Amino acid sequence: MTVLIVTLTIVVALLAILVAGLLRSHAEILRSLHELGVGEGGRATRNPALKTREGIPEPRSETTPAFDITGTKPDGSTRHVGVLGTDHTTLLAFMTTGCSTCQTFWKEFGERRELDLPGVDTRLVIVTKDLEHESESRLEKLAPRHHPIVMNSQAWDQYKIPVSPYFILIDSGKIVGEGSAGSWKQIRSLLTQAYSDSTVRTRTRRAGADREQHADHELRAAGIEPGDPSLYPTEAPEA
Amino acid sequence: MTQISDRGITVDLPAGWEADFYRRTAHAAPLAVGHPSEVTTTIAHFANWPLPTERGDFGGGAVELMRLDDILIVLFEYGDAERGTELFSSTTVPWPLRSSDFDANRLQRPLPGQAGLQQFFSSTSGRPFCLFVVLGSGRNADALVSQVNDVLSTISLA
Repeated sequence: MTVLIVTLTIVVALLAILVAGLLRSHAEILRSLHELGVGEGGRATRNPALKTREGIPEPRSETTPAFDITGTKPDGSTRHVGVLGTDHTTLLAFMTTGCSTCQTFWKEFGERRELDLPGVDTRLVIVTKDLEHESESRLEKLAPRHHPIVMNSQAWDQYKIPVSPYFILIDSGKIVGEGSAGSWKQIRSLLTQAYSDSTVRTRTRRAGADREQHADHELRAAGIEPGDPSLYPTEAPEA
Repeated sequence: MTQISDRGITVDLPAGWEADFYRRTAHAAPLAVGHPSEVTTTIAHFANWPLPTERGDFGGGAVELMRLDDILIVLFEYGDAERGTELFSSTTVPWPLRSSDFDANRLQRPLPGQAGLQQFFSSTSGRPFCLFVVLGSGRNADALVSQVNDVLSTISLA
């Protein structure tokens, strides 16, 4: 009888430990899901710690808004590139003359004027650090003829660039894609996907008054003002 | 507005505009044309659209890419030899501009639909300048010239 009671006590104790473990595990899962914004309320309480595989650069630890860049060119004169308030997409390529991974991108950009970039009339802008951090002779050799270069170390800090090379795609004043990779093919694929995702969201948003405003802008650009006779045809167009 | 300053020219640019300052060298402006002995000082380009890297001092290679609502403003400074000459006798900046000042025949290279303007003047310190402006659409001149004047009104020349 004593043996039976001791055995049952041990079994109950083990089951209690097992249930406690399961409850704790369940609580951990619920908390993680809540942090990711899954479940009731749907709002994440913090950014989950993102880890990439070894050898793959991690994204920026902190996001920033997009902003224009003013800097110098290799010849020392000033260049200001607007990325806000434009109707084209901008790809900022943060590269240095020294990093070995950048060499493949310098070569690619030097050889190709057309890069088949995602976005609307997308323009590539290469952003390097100031001459204090770059090799002037190397930059002169690497600088592509067809794509502008702006040198500004502060822009690297303000955009919180974690690694070189790093690419940021800006459309309608917002960062719609970013990342780093070892080849142009990889980065192009990454940004194309990001841009496609962002346009799906934009198409959904552009409705009503926004769509009307957009149409008005396009017509004005073509020299057609309100009241223009072409807006009110009296005859059916020729077949 | 973003204030940009280089070589004694300061400008406040609205959002969406860009600026490029340079002196004519083979590196800075490979398509630039001119007599080899010609001395130029500062050249500044302001535009409300993405300026291509390869373009001439007066926008050759770039104006061909302009769309209807695009604007190119060129401030071209001439050398000391031009100081005090008849062409640069005006010491008053030529802005604000009027849309009637623009004409297709005032372009360096006439392109369909575009309109341009060219004015010579000297800064108060005697620096001889040419102001050259190209509008993507002459039909849209009223709206575009208003934007041009907004930018020009912020320029100060040392």
